[in-house]
Amino acid sequence: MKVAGKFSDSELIAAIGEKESLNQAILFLYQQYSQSTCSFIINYGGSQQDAEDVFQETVLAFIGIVKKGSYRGEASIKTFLVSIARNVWRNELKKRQRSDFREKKFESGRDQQEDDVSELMTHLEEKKQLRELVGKLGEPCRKLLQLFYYENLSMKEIVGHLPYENEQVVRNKKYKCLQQLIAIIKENPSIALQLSEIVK
Amino acid sequence: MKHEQLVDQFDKTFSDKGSGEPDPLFLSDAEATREWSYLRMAVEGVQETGLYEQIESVKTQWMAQRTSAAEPSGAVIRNISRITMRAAACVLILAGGTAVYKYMSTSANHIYSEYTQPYDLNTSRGAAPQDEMDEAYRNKNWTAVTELYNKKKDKSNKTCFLAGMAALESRRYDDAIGMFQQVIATNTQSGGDYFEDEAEFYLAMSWLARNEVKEAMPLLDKIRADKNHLYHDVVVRMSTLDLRIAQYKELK
Repeated sequence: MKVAGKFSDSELIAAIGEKESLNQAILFLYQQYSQSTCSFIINYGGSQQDAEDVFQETVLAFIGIVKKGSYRGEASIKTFLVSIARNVWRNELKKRQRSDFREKKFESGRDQQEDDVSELMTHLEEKKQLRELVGKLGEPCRKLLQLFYYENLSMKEIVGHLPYENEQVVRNKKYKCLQQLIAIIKENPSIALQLSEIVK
Repeated sequence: MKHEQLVDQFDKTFSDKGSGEPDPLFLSDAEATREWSYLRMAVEGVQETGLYEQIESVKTQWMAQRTSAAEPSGAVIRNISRITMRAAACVLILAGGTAVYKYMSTSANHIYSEYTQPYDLNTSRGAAPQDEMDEAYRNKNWTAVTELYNKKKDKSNKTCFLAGMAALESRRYDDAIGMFQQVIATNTQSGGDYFEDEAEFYLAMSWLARNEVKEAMPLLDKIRADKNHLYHDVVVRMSTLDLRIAQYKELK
């Protein structure tokens, strides 16, 4: 893997918006901010694994916020990431139903920046559950849907990536896979209800 | 409205606006609106998963990079016993021996043999109608594959690629390189990517077979950087150290 170039905050935001430079931007986030954020989580009772998971969720949430155009640059990226990480870790602690000393100490350190970030990070848990539902699809379906809806490849381009004979076969398969995923979502009405808020 | 039409309309809106905003037409139909909402949930999930996996992939590579770059701790060991010294000497000799063995035994040809897998026509490209050339390829009749290719008036990327594979299997590496390069050139010209991934991987392997690591490296780097490449996983498994040693030996 190449070493990520140096990005200023504004360059990083621009790099996140471009498909070609997204990997470099993610790498830069890890190189620059993972250590301080992970130390912070460990300081508040997380294990090394917790810290790595929280940082990954933090990067995911941050990119989502940037792509929606909700990052206004009022706080530096570093501060913003730490605020996201605090929110992610707080949610995780709540999920684990831990209300011990560490969490109380953690709550007492809450500031305005965190509250602002918290508003941007809506439905974090529901999105995680949604990922789990997508994970229930078989690998071929998941791959096909990702190529179309995430990588934005055309049917013609997908024929070159997957072992399907022609565009019509890919189109039919994609339709079936989408139906399969929708059926999985419908099987979980409580998640579907919560998720309907996300896509409003 | 049929569900297929709804999905088509959704995809059209998705590709036009990139957001999947509902067409006002659907707002009056409750059932269609509900299905539209499910479609958006599904796509939201696919995109979220795609991004999560992309981050996971970069993270994995970053962690591997960090581990390999980690320096030993600078602690000063003051009292090293004789036994420890002997053990250290043994480890050094073993490490030195291993390094020499590694250097001697690593070559581009060796990497080629280790990572080149036969191309399986049955599993790689769906159920295409069979023809003579496919049949000859499946029977590993490389001479027949080459002859049939030469006779073909209508040459496609697939036939060109199979002829390249036949040449590679027959150790006619120059011919194989020519065929794979032709597939890539055709795609460059047409803007397509039919058999592109296959041609890129086996072209790199052909260069390795010819001990020309310098030619293979840009292709291998490209495949390694593209997680959607069909041969990404194979190339990621290749030892970078082995490739560097082979390249160093080539330059010597």
